[in-house]
Amino acid sequence: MKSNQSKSIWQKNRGKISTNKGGWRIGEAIYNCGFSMMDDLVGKKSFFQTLVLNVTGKLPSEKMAHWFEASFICLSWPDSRIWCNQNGALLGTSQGSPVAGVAAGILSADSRMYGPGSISGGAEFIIRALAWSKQGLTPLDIIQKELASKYTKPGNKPVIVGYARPIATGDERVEAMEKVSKSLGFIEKEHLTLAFEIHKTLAEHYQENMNYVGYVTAFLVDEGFSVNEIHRIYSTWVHSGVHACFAEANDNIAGTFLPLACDDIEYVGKAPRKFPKNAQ
Amino acid sequence: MNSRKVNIESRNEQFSTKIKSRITLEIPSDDNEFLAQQTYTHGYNVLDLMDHCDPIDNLFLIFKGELPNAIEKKILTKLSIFLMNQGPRTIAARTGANAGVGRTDVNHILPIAIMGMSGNYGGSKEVENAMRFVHRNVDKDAANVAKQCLADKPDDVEGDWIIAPGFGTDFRGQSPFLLDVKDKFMQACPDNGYLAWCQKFINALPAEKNCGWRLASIVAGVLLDLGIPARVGAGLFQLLASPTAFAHGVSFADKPITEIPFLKDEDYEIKPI
Repeated sequence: MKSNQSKSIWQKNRGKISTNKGGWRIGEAIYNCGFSMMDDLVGKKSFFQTLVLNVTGKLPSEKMAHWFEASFICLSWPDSRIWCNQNGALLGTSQGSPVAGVAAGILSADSRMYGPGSISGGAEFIIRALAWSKQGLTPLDIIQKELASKYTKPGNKPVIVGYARPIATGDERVEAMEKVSKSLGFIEKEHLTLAFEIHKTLAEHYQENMNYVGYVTAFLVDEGFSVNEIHRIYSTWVHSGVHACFAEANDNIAGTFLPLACDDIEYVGKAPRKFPKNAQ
Repeated sequence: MNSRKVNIESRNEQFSTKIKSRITLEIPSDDNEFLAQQTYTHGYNVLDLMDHCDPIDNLFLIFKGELPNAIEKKILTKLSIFLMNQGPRTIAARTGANAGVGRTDVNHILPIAIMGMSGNYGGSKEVENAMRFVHRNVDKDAANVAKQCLADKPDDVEGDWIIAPGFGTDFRGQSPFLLDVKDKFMQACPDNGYLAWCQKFINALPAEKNCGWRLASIVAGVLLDLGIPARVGAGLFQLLASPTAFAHGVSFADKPITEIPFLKDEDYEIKPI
């Protein structure tokens, strides 16, 4: 592509929208990526089929949509100790709007440590790892190379995205989703096979395991989804658990969820001091 | 399958039993531990701050732990006034305006507008990334860093040519207003500081291609000169830029929905699949 120093791309789009996604033609139809919503989707396709269609432009199979739905359930924990859920609960106890509470929870999970914020890193790693594997690197080579790379902090503790988890080691959701994948008839492919080899090696050498993001991203890359598509589909991943925590705190007496007395905060700052006379 | 089965075990990490704060001390009242008798910010009684400080002093104190000196106060005041006066074309103002005219609960207009300014193209993510880039390279020769960036990012893109976070073209030009703003900051910031390094870096970029300052590089240089780290810079940018974003947004909250263009069908092209 040649250098484009003109303003034409902005001029062309002033006051106009040109879309592949669809839209509303009043009195005619609502279109989703070529489908008529009322004729082709409502009552005929599932919500998750429609979600993936809207994100990717491709209507997934029913079984793929079932798989996505199951994978969303795996992040629907009603445990208000978890950071995103607690933010939903705090909005609930302060009598905030459920939309604000759930939105705050969803945004909280845009995190490097958990939730959809870690998706891109997980998907990019397994894509990189398979390329290295095809160059002849063993799973241990891949782990060591990754740990030494610019993508993670070098050190003894593994910080490969998708292969560590806060609070606990191991991840029960991997086994659950393996069952779902098998029951739906999915065949394991190269990214996921490598992911399990890395998982096994990591457990032997570093006492860490593949986590749910590692599993989901390897599976979906194998199924042809791009890093961006996976990240976008999962952007609201945690919302069901946040809903639960918001609802309970909101139903209870206002302000009674995890109240803090003054002494519940440990002050570690400067001792009380006089305002300087020479200030201003 | 069995070899893949793992035990789920707690890491048994030692979590803090209390939230810590090095910013605020609240001394409880005698008869109700949930109510404060006195409140201090970095050691100063908030009642004294109310008598003796202006908002810029207090803002600097909150983030830096000390009151600003005259130069720091001058720089932060300029930055605050500049960012406070962003126009209605910003993504932040437009998201706020869509919320306002769409009758969104007015409580949500500001958070929506702040989310609207979080992007990596013109938003706080670009500021954060620019801060990280400048901080990482400030001890290196700016011209050499520019040479490497130009080699890594050839001008073969549509849209803006971004050669490093915060640096490149701005609508394929350079905003005369932003350049005037930058000059004001150059006068206020240290000669050998981060903003000065940004200028040296830009001096080595092709001016004939309008490759130079973007909003993010100016803000990044100034924030770093104030001693603000990148992890704080994004949010501080959002905080300082939020007044007009909210004001533009809420100004539509009592207006009819026809106040903001809703494109006609002929201007909304649904491409055939």
